[in-house]
Amino acid sequence: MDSSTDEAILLDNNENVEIKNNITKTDTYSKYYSQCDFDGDGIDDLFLATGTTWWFSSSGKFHWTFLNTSSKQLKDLRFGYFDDDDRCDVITESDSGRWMISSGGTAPWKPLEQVWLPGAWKPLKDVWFGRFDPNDLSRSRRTTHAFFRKDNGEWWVKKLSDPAFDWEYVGGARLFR
Amino acid sequence: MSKLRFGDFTCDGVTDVLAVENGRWAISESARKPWRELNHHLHDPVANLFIANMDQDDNIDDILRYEVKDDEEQLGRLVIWWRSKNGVEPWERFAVTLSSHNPNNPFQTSLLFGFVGHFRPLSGGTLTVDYDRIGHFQILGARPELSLFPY
Repeated sequence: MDSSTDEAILLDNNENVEIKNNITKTDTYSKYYSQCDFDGDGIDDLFLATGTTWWFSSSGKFHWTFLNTSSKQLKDLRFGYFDDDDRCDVITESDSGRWMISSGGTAPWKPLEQVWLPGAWKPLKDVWFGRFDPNDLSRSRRTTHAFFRKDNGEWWVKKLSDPAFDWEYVGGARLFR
Repeated sequence: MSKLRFGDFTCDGVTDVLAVENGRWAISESARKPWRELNHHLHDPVANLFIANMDQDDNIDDILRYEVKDDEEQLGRLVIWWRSKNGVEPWERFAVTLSSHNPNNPFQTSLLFGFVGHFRPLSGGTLTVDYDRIGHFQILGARPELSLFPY
Protein backbone atom coordinates (compact mmCIF):
# COMPACT_ATOMS: atom_id res chain seq x y z
CA MET A 1 0.00 0.00 0.00
CA ASP A 2 1.22 3.46 -0.86
CA SER A 3 0.98 5.73 2.16
CA SER A 4 0.91 8.83 -0.04
CA THR A 5 -2.55 8.04 -1.39
CA ASP A 6 -6.01 8.01 0.19
CA GLU A 7 -7.03 4.50 -0.82
CA ALA A 8 -7.31 1.92 1.93
CA ILE A 9 -6.56 -0.94 -0.46
CA LEU A 10 -4.85 -0.66 -3.79
CA LEU A 11 -5.35 -3.25 -6.50
CA ASP A 12 -1.85 -3.94 -7.74
CA ASN A 13 -2.85 -5.89 -10.82
CA ASN A 14 -5.85 -7.71 -12.25
CA GLU A 15 -4.43 -11.24 -12.11
CA ASN A 16 -6.82 -13.71 -10.47
CA VAL A 17 -9.25 -10.90 -9.80
CA GLU A 18 -12.81 -11.03 -11.06
CA ILE A 19 -14.82 -7.83 -10.89
CA LYS A 20 -18.60 -8.32 -11.04
CA ASN A 21 -21.53 -5.99 -11.22
CA ASN A 22 -24.03 -5.41 -8.42
CA ILE A 23 -25.42 -8.93 -8.01
CA THR A 24 -28.70 -7.87 -6.46
CA LYS A 25 -29.50 -5.55 -9.39
CA THR A 26 -30.87 -2.96 -7.04
CA ASP A 27 -29.87 0.32 -5.47
CA THR A 28 -30.90 0.47 -1.83
CA TYR A 29 -29.42 3.91 -1.16
CA SER A 30 -32.01 5.94 0.76
CA LYS A 31 -34.17 2.90 1.50
CA TYR A 32 -33.68 2.93 5.26
CA TYR A 33 -35.91 2.36 8.25
CA SER A 34 -35.32 4.91 11.01
CA GLN A 35 -37.64 4.13 13.91
CA CYS A 36 -36.16 1.18 15.76
CA ASP A 37 -33.23 0.64 18.12
CA PHE A 38 -30.92 -2.23 17.21
CA ASP A 39 -28.18 -1.71 19.79
CA GLY A 40 -30.47 -1.16 22.77
CA ASP A 41 -29.13 2.26 23.72
CA GLY A 42 -32.57 3.89 23.69
CA ILE A 43 -31.89 5.79 20.46
CA ASP A 44 -33.31 4.84 17.08
CA ASP A 45 -30.90 3.58 14.43
CA LEU A 46 -30.96 3.41 10.66
CA PHE A 47 -31.57 -0.04 9.19
CA LEU A 48 -30.43 -1.01 5.69
CA ALA A 49 -31.27 -4.19 3.76
CA THR A 50 -29.11 -4.49 0.65
CA GLY A 51 -30.75 -7.58 -0.81
CA THR A 52 -28.02 -9.85 0.50
CA THR A 53 -27.21 -8.47 3.95
CA TRP A 54 -28.66 -6.30 6.72
CA TRP A 55 -26.82 -3.43 8.41
CA PHE A 56 -27.55 -0.75 10.99
CA SER A 57 -26.06 2.64 11.72
CA SER A 58 -26.12 3.38 15.44
CA SER A 59 -28.28 6.49 16.02
CA GLY A 60 -27.90 7.12 12.30
CA LYS A 61 -24.59 8.81 12.96
CA PHE A 62 -22.10 5.98 12.90
CA HIS A 63 -20.78 3.56 10.29
CA TRP A 64 -22.85 0.65 9.01
CA THR A 65 -22.57 -2.36 11.29
CA PHE A 66 -23.34 -5.86 10.03
CA LEU A 67 -26.47 -7.54 11.38
CA ASN A 68 -27.27 -10.57 9.28
CA THR A 69 -27.26 -12.28 5.91
CA SER A 70 -30.67 -12.23 4.26
CA SER A 71 -32.19 -11.58 0.87
CA LYS A 72 -35.25 -10.02 2.51
CA GLN A 73 -35.56 -6.35 1.65
CA LEU A 74 -37.19 -3.46 3.46
CA LYS A 75 -40.53 -3.92 1.74
CA ASP A 76 -40.66 -7.50 3.09
CA LEU A 77 -39.95 -6.55 6.70
CA ARG A 78 -41.66 -5.15 9.76
CA PHE A 79 -40.00 -3.95 12.96
CA GLY A 80 -40.79 -3.88 16.67
CA TYR A 81 -39.85 -5.11 20.13
CA PHE A 82 -41.33 -8.58 20.19
CA ASP A 83 -39.15 -10.35 22.76
CA ASP A 84 -37.97 -9.43 26.20
CA ASP A 85 -34.99 -7.25 25.37
CA ASP A 86 -34.64 -3.65 24.28
CA ARG A 87 -33.29 -4.47 20.85
CA CYS A 88 -35.36 -4.10 17.71
CA ASP A 89 -36.59 -7.35 16.17
CA VAL A 90 -37.33 -7.98 12.51
CA ILE A 91 -40.46 -9.74 11.23
CA THR A 92 -41.17 -11.23 7.83
CA GLU A 93 -43.55 -13.83 6.44
CA SER A 94 -42.54 -17.24 5.18
CA ASP A 95 -43.64 -18.71 1.85
CA SER A 96 -46.56 -20.30 3.70
CA GLY A 97 -47.55 -16.93 5.18
CA ARG A 98 -46.34 -17.67 8.66
CA TRP A 99 -44.79 -14.77 10.57
CA MET A 100 -41.10 -15.26 11.29
CA ILE A 101 -38.90 -13.28 13.67
CA SER A 102 -35.20 -12.52 13.66
CA SER A 103 -34.45 -11.46 17.23
CA GLY A 104 -32.36 -8.32 17.24
CA GLY A 105 -32.02 -8.61 13.49
CA THR A 106 -29.10 -10.95 14.10
CA ALA A 107 -30.72 -14.29 14.99
CA PRO A 108 -31.89 -16.88 12.46
CA TRP A 109 -35.55 -16.85 11.47
CA LYS A 110 -37.92 -18.70 13.78
CA PRO A 111 -41.72 -18.64 13.96
CA LEU A 112 -43.01 -15.67 15.93
CA GLU A 113 -45.47 -18.01 17.63
CA GLN A 114 -45.30 -21.80 17.52
CA VAL A 115 -48.84 -22.63 18.47
CA TRP A 116 -51.10 -20.34 16.51
CA LEU A 117 -53.87 -22.05 14.63
CA PRO A 118 -53.89 -22.15 10.83
CA GLY A 119 -55.47 -18.98 9.53
CA ALA A 120 -54.11 -16.86 12.34
CA TRP A 121 -51.45 -15.44 10.05
CA LYS A 122 -52.50 -12.46 7.98
CA PRO A 123 -50.62 -10.89 5.06
CA LEU A 124 -48.06 -8.49 6.49
CA LYS A 125 -48.98 -5.86 3.90
CA ASP A 126 -52.29 -5.51 5.73
CA VAL A 127 -50.84 -5.59 9.23
CA TRP A 128 -49.44 -2.95 11.59
CA PHE A 129 -47.73 -3.86 14.84
CA GLY A 130 -48.26 -1.71 17.91
CA ARG A 131 -49.76 -1.49 21.38
CA PHE A 132 -53.52 -1.72 21.02
CA ASP A 133 -54.58 -2.69 24.54
CA PRO A 134 -56.46 0.32 25.96
CA ASN A 135 -55.95 -1.03 29.46
CA ASP A 136 -52.17 -1.28 29.18
CA LEU A 137 -50.95 2.18 30.10
CA SER A 138 -47.45 1.03 31.05
CA ARG A 139 -45.84 3.03 28.24
CA SER A 140 -43.55 0.06 27.65
CA ARG A 141 -41.72 -0.04 24.34
CA ARG A 142 -42.73 -3.64 23.81
CA THR A 143 -44.83 -4.48 20.75
CA THR A 144 -47.90 -6.25 22.09
CA HIS A 145 -50.48 -6.45 19.30
CA ALA A 146 -51.00 -6.86 15.58
CA PHE A 147 -53.62 -4.76 13.79
CA PHE A 148 -55.16 -6.23 10.63
CA ARG A 149 -57.32 -4.43 8.08
CA LYS A 150 -59.38 -6.80 5.97
CA ASP A 151 -60.14 -6.01 2.36
CA ASN A 152 -63.74 -5.22 3.35
CA GLY A 153 -62.54 -2.53 5.74
CA GLU A 154 -62.98 -4.43 8.98
CA TRP A 155 -60.38 -3.96 11.69
CA TRP A 156 -59.09 -6.84 13.79
CA VAL A 157 -56.54 -6.87 16.61
CA LYS A 158 -54.57 -9.82 17.98
CA LYS A 159 -52.62 -10.00 21.22
CA LEU A 160 -49.25 -11.49 20.39
CA SER A 161 -48.19 -12.91 23.73
CA ASP A 162 -51.20 -15.15 24.33
CA PRO A 163 -51.66 -18.02 21.82
CA ALA A 164 -55.21 -18.56 23.01
CA PHE A 165 -56.14 -14.97 22.22
CA ASP A 166 -57.68 -15.04 18.76
CA TRP A 167 -58.14 -12.08 16.44
CA GLU A 168 -60.60 -9.65 18.04
CA TYR A 169 -62.95 -7.67 15.86
CA VAL A 170 -62.63 -4.01 16.86
CA GLY A 171 -64.30 -2.03 14.11
CA GLY A 172 -66.88 -2.41 11.38
CA ALA A 173 -66.53 -1.55 7.74
CA ARG A 174 -69.23 1.14 7.93
CA LEU A 175 -67.73 2.79 10.97
CA PHE A 176 -64.13 2.51 9.80
CA ARG A 177 -64.01 2.92 6.06
CA MET B 1 -53.57 0.36 4.71
CA SER B 2 -52.05 3.35 2.88
CA LYS B 3 -54.99 5.45 4.11
CA LEU B 4 -54.20 4.63 7.73
CA ARG B 5 -51.29 5.68 9.91
CA PHE B 6 -50.51 4.89 13.52
CA GLY B 7 -49.25 6.78 16.55
CA ASP B 8 -50.07 7.77 20.10
CA PHE B 9 -52.04 11.00 19.95
CA THR B 10 -53.63 10.74 23.40
CA CYS B 11 -50.58 10.34 25.66
CA ASP B 12 -51.72 7.01 27.08
CA GLY B 13 -49.03 4.78 25.56
CA VAL B 14 -51.61 3.02 23.39
CA THR B 15 -51.47 3.09 19.59
CA ASP B 16 -54.19 5.09 17.82
CA VAL B 17 -55.21 5.00 14.16
CA LEU B 18 -54.94 8.17 12.06
CA ALA B 19 -56.81 8.81 8.80
CA VAL B 20 -58.60 11.53 6.86
CA GLU B 21 -62.26 11.29 7.82
CA ASN B 22 -64.94 13.80 6.84
CA GLY B 23 -62.24 15.96 5.29
CA ARG B 24 -60.03 16.29 8.39
CA TRP B 25 -57.45 14.27 10.23
CA ALA B 26 -59.24 12.01 12.66
CA ILE B 27 -58.19 9.31 15.08
CA SER B 28 -59.68 6.13 16.41
CA GLU B 29 -58.27 5.76 19.92
CA SER B 30 -56.62 2.36 20.43
CA ALA B 31 -58.32 1.31 17.14
CA ARG B 32 -61.48 0.67 19.16
CA LYS B 33 -63.29 3.98 19.43
CA PRO B 34 -65.22 5.80 16.69
CA TRP B 35 -63.46 8.43 14.65
CA ARG B 36 -63.02 11.78 16.34
CA GLU B 37 -61.58 14.84 14.69
CA LEU B 38 -57.94 15.45 15.62
CA ASN B 39 -57.25 18.64 13.68
CA HIS B 40 -59.78 21.30 12.76
CA HIS B 41 -57.96 22.37 9.60
CA LEU B 42 -55.48 19.85 8.23
CA HIS B 43 -56.40 17.05 5.91
CA ASP B 44 -53.21 16.07 4.06
CA PRO B 45 -53.31 12.48 2.84
CA VAL B 46 -51.68 10.40 5.53
CA ALA B 47 -49.61 8.15 3.29
CA ASN B 48 -46.77 10.67 3.00
CA LEU B 49 -46.75 11.84 6.59
CA PHE B 50 -44.17 11.07 9.25
CA ILE B 51 -45.23 10.37 12.81
CA ALA B 52 -42.97 10.71 15.85
CA ASN B 53 -42.82 12.75 19.03
CA MET B 54 -40.45 15.70 18.71
CA ASP B 55 -40.95 17.12 22.21
CA GLN B 56 -39.23 16.32 25.48
CA ASP B 57 -42.09 17.72 27.55
CA ASP B 58 -44.91 15.48 26.33
CA ASN B 59 -45.53 11.91 25.23
CA ILE B 60 -47.75 12.73 22.27
CA ASP B 61 -46.75 12.01 18.70
CA ASP B 62 -46.44 14.84 16.21
CA ILE B 63 -47.23 14.74 12.51
CA LEU B 64 -44.57 15.90 10.05
CA ARG B 65 -43.99 16.27 6.35
CA TYR B 66 -41.21 17.75 4.25
CA GLU B 67 -40.99 19.60 0.99
CA VAL B 68 -38.04 20.23 -1.32
CA LYS B 69 -37.83 23.60 -3.04
CA ASP B 70 -35.29 25.88 -4.70
CA ASP B 71 -33.47 28.34 -2.49
CA GLU B 72 -34.42 31.92 -3.43
CA GLU B 73 -30.75 32.93 -3.47
CA GLN B 74 -29.97 30.10 -5.88
CA LEU B 75 -27.55 28.52 -3.44
CA GLY B 76 -29.09 25.10 -3.74
CA ARG B 77 -32.25 23.33 -2.70
CA LEU B 78 -34.02 23.49 0.62
CA VAL B 79 -35.55 20.62 2.50
CA ILE B 80 -38.18 22.17 4.74
CA TRP B 81 -39.74 20.09 7.51
CA TRP B 82 -43.21 21.08 8.69
CA ARG B 83 -44.73 19.88 11.94
CA SER B 84 -48.23 19.78 13.35
CA LYS B 85 -47.55 19.57 17.07
CA ASN B 86 -49.48 16.65 18.58
CA GLY B 87 -51.40 16.48 15.32
CA VAL B 88 -53.75 19.19 16.56
CA GLU B 89 -51.92 22.39 15.63
CA PRO B 90 -51.43 24.01 12.21
CA TRP B 91 -48.32 23.33 10.16
CA GLU B 92 -45.29 25.16 11.55
CA ARG B 93 -41.79 25.19 10.11
CA PHE B 94 -39.69 22.75 12.13
CA ALA B 95 -36.33 22.50 10.39
CA VAL B 96 -34.58 23.56 7.19
CA THR B 97 -31.56 22.11 5.43
CA LEU B 98 -29.83 23.70 2.44
CA SER B 99 -27.94 21.45 0.04
CA SER B 100 -26.03 22.37 -3.10
CA HIS B 101 -25.86 20.02 -6.03
CA ASN B 102 -22.62 19.85 -8.01
CA PRO B 103 -23.13 17.76 -11.15
CA ASN B 104 -19.34 17.50 -11.55
CA ASN B 105 -18.97 15.71 -8.23
CA PRO B 106 -19.40 12.00 -8.94
CA PHE B 107 -19.83 11.22 -5.27
CA GLN B 108 -22.95 13.34 -4.95
CA THR B 109 -26.39 11.91 -5.48
CA SER B 110 -29.41 13.49 -7.08
CA LEU B 111 -31.59 12.65 -4.09
CA LEU B 112 -32.62 14.58 -1.01
CA PHE B 113 -34.68 12.65 1.48
CA GLY B 114 -35.75 12.58 5.08
CA PHE B 115 -36.63 10.43 8.05
CA VAL B 116 -37.87 10.90 11.58
CA GLY B 117 -36.85 8.93 14.63
CA HIS B 118 -36.09 8.94 18.31
CA PHE B 119 -32.58 10.23 17.72
CA ARG B 120 -31.96 11.47 21.28
CA PRO B 121 -32.64 9.62 24.55
CA LEU B 122 -35.44 12.01 25.45
CA SER B 123 -36.81 13.27 22.16
CA GLY B 124 -37.22 12.67 18.49
CA GLY B 125 -35.89 14.60 15.56
CA THR B 126 -35.70 14.85 11.82
CA LEU B 127 -32.95 13.47 9.64
CA THR B 128 -32.33 15.04 6.25
CA VAL B 129 -29.81 13.45 3.90
CA ASP B 130 -28.14 15.93 1.56
CA TYR B 131 -26.58 15.58 -1.89
CA ASP B 132 -23.24 14.70 -0.24
CA ARG B 133 -24.92 11.72 1.48
CA ILE B 134 -24.47 13.38 4.87
CA GLY B 135 -27.25 13.19 7.45
CA HIS B 136 -28.42 16.40 9.14
CA PHE B 137 -30.11 15.77 12.49
CA GLN B 138 -32.39 18.50 13.82
CA ILE B 139 -33.79 18.15 17.30
CA LEU B 140 -35.68 20.71 19.37
CA GLY B 141 -33.48 22.41 21.92
CA ALA B 142 -30.29 20.91 20.55
CA ARG B 143 -27.68 22.06 18.09
CA PRO B 144 -27.95 20.49 14.63
CA GLU B 145 -25.68 17.50 14.21
CA LEU B 146 -24.25 15.69 11.22
CA SER B 147 -23.75 12.01 10.58
CA LEU B 148 -20.15 10.97 11.06
CA PHE B 149 -20.04 9.21 7.71
CA PRO B 150 -21.71 9.54 4.31
CA TYR B 151 -24.52 7.05 3.85
